Amino acid sequence: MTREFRRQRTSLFTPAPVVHALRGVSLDIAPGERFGIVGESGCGKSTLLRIIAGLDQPTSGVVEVDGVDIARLPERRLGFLREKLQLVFQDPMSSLDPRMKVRDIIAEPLVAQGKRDTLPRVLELLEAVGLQPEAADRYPHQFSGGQRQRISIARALAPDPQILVADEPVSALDVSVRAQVLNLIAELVDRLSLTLVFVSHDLSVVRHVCDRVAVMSRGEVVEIGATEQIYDAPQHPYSRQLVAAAPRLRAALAGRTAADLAADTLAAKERP
Amino acid sequence: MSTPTTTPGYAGSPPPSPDRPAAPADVLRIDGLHVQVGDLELLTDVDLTVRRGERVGLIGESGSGKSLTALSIMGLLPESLEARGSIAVTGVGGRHTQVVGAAERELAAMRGRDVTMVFQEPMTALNPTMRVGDQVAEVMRIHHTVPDRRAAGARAVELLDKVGLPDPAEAARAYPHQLSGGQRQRVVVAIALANDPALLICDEPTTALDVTVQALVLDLIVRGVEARDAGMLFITHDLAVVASVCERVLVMYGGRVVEAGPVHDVFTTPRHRYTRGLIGASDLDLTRPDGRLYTIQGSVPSAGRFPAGCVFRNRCIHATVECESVPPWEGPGPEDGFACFHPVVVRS
Amino acid sequence: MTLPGGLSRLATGLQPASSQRSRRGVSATIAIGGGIVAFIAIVGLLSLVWTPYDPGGIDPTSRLQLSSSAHWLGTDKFGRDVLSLLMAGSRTTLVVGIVAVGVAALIGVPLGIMSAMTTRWWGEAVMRANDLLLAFPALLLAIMLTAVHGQGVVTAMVAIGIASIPSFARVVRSGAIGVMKTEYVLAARAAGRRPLAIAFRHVLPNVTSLIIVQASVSFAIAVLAEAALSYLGLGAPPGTPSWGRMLQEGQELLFVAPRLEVFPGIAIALAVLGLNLLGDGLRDRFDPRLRDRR
Repeated sequence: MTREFRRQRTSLFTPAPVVHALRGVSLDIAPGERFGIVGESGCGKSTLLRIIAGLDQPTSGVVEVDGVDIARLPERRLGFLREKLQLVFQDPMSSLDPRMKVRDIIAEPLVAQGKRDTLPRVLELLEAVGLQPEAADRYPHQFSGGQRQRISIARALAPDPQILVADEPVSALDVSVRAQVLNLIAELVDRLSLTLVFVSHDLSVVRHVCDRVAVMSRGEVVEIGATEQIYDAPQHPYSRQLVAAAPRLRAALAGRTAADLAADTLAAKERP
Repeated sequence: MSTPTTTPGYAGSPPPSPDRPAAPADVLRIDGLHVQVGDLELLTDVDLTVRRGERVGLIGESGSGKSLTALSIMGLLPESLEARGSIAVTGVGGRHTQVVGAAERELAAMRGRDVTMVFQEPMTALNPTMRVGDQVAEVMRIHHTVPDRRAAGARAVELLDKVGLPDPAEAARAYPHQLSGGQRQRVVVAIALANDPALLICDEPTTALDVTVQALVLDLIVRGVEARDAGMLFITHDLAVVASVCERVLVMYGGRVVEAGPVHDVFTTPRHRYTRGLIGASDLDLTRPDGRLYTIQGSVPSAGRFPAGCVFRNRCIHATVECESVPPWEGPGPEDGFACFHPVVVRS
Repeated sequence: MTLPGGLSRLATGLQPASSQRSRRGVSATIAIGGGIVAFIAIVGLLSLVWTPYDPGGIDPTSRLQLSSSAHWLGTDKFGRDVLSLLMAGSRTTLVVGIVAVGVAALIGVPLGIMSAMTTRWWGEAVMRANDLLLAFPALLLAIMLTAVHGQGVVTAMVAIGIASIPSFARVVRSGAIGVMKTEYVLAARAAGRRPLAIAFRHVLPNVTSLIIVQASVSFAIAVLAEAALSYLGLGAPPGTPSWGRMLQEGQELLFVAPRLEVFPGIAIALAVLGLNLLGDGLRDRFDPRLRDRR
């Protein structure tokens, strides 16, 4: 069995002033791969992710999941994709309906597929993400950010997907909780042999989680390659800037000041 | 200076020292600050000093009380919150303000002149209906640091140039929405530095910015503070940013300062178990033998849900019965020490 | 120094812990408004089983009497007891209000949600039609309907209901657009939920508070509209007790017996005041919670 995404010349136009959110993006993701997408706000990574998840359509181009082009399918024919691919969002507050109980939130993908008697599966999922069974009957606001993100992950895993797409899943979390959630994602991806697509603005987070990474800037993929390689020896000026600008604790303790950061960032931009 | 009030019954907290007057170089001296709403204590016994030319970091997660500390210094606490203790500000020209209990008029004279602030969100910190040049000029006009309107306008353009906006004269006529996020934060920095304050408070100033822009804005802030020999209190959750910017650091958790010291010492040889855990959890290059990250168990409690005694004990694997009482502050002074019964290593 | 938004955000960010508890109780506005509305409702119900006199009982021997122990609020030109008329009139007012608001909500809420959920042209078209209706004078609509269907309480209710549709559609649409932007709706789509399920399970529950507030405000407007229509002779027909009708019938005697105008006037003002207070109170109660959730 093979599964791959193939995307070619994808560009998204919104009406009136034409915004090129994505221009000519092509990438393949192999089954079982942990693929990162890195870029800053407005680089098109969220649009790309929504297109991959079938929540948005490209202006032109092809998006193949398991050999099926999803780019032109109407929403009602995306059922197979909804079983195969699930999402975890950035904001653990707004990604859970405040008026629904946790059991209904987690069961939603199952109910959408017409399954009944979802409670046993919900309890199983709660355990898998490290929450107590009592959580099922509570509401989202009764949980902390990290716990809400666990609920979000449980919901994503409910239909037993093969592909997990995570949109900045830890950027809204406290530092002391971030590591827990990253570990949880890594463990689940290992245990369930998932294909992971992980979007982040933070190269060091992607570096920890992903094998391969695409660096995006202004709607284009500017560099793509093994994570370590891009982290240690970025080729494209933008990738170099991204690596140079990120403050790192060890470097800072070794005497790398804000002035050095700024100088390196500018140098990376200007170096041919 | 009014006499700071003390709270009896807080075992282990060093008593505030009203007899110890602020040294001339101290721009900010907080002694035994408590903030509470009703019976709920949000800040407990915070001691903090910033001298001229010094850059001090305040590290903490959500609910740690770091932003509340900043608001207390500015005298901007919501009315429902009650502050006790002493916050002494020595401003421009040695002007002294005791923020706790001060009249609004006194505070208004201090804010924007002696102490200024850079907020996290550059969009909401600027008035969307006012040209940015006018907003920079306004703060100088309010405090009469420029002779007239014309001079204020000219100085505003000069400041916008200094914070690195291309074509500053053009930028001064722009409205906030016409600028990018990074440019807006530069304008906010220009406003904060316009009156050459004695103390600049930065509350997560680069959290909303892209990482490449963050590097430049951090550099800008540090240079601006250095040029004025001002003190800086830099509040963030990002350890690497603090290490790049500050000399000294205080670690807050659950409304208390749990550890303080020089940045290098605190981050290389932390003593409090929380500091240790925080550094481990935020270092993504450091993994356990199984390839996973080091973590702190549990999550940050919401305000008022922190345990009595050591605020970290419900998440600490080293906690014992002893930790049910408040650990005393160990160390040479409020600027260097920790409050933990089971520290990692005690430096000799 | 300019410290507007950032500070207020910081300040409000601190508030939930302190003020949520106090908000959980019932505010004075809700208590007073709710009390007035409840009082009118109870009087209306009471009038079904008991009024001091028969509200339709014409008694030529006791015309235009002043307040007395027999007739607390006096009698009108036909000798009917004013207090009994007021009590029975509250029934008409309540029924008209409930039905009109019901009609408006039943049509306006789905329209608002639908137009928020679709990106197709007809969503926009619905809202423009809505604007058109909003611009159309409600009274003119009522006159037209009366011309077609004849005078009556039902005609009045339908006319007022139709005129209130746009306000519901607008309020619900703006709330629903906010809900549609949240990630939980995106998550529901990714889970394979169909639009109808999203509308019922996610959008509707999250705009309920807006609907409740709008309903109380619309109710107040409906009470006024019913009075106005009846006053113009387009509402309750002769013989049906109604506050608006009482105003109309008392008008010719304004200088002889001003109390015939004053009492129904007070009743209308009280009802509108109560409903508006209730609406404002509910808005204050719901809004901060909505904000905290975002």
